[in-house]
Amino acid sequence: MKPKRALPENWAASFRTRFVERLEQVLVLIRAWTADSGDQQLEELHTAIHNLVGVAGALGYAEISDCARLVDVAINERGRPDPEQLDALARVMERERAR
Amino acid sequence: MDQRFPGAALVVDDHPLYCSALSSALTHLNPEARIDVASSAEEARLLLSRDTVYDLVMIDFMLPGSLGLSLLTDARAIQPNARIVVISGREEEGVVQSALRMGADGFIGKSLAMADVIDKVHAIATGRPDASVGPEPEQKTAKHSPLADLSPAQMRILVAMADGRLNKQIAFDLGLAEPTVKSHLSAIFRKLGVNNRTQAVLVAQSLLPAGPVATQPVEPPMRTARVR
Repeated sequence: MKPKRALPENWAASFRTRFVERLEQVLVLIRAWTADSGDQQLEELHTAIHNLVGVAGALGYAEISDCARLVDVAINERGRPDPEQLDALARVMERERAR
Repeated sequence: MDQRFPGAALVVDDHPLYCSALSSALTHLNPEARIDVASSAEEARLLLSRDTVYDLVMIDFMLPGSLGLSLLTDARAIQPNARIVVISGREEEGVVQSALRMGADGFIGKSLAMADVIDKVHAIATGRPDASVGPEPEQKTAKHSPLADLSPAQMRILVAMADGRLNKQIAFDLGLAEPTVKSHLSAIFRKLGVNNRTQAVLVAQSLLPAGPVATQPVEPPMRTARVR
């Protein structure tokens, strides 16, 4: 096993604060899509969720990243999110916000 | 490779938080590094054309109004000595192979923890054997993509074509004669199983997923001198 070029323990702290604040905005998009599944909302939701895959993973929120990836793939492949996957994503995001 | 890597890096990504986090993390490789950021291909081309010599350029696969792969070709031409890494939230085999065939020195999935990203950037910089940063072995069983049959030059031409460039522009940008471009186009059509330019672009767009934001290439062509 090669040594990792570890980042300092507190490296991600400020980014995590911004990330958790951003979660609320994505949750609003998820709720809007759930209430009215329009194309306009879908594009915005897709962009937000695609970005979430990357930034959540980068900052150590692997579960959010994994759930977001499933939704992202579903939209890419089928043109719309799977409601159950979207709900699962919303739940892990809510859980993280509540911490 | 110099121990103080990167000396100067350009991060091209339209997501501000990821961009900030990556830039911050890169300074842990070299606290004195100059880190520039761009949120679009157009902005990146401006920075690449200035005096700064970058030894690392990290490009998001999907940028607003453009394929990041198109920027990759230009970055390689303008800054031939830079290590160029494609980053993407899309980590399918087709995307990874497209990036590597277009001349990227490495590919890094955006879902990687930032400590791993930095580790891989260092691996790419130092040319370690583990610098092939595509998908994990279990993911390498994806079905064969027709893009895999294209040569690197043909990949560059296909991406330029998908970006809306004409033969004359492509020839100029890639330092080729126009008949050479036409010859490559014939080969591309044959390998993709299509009859014309429109069909080839449609195939390219289906195999190089544009994702949620980079759906319509709108940028003007970039004059570049040559391609490595």
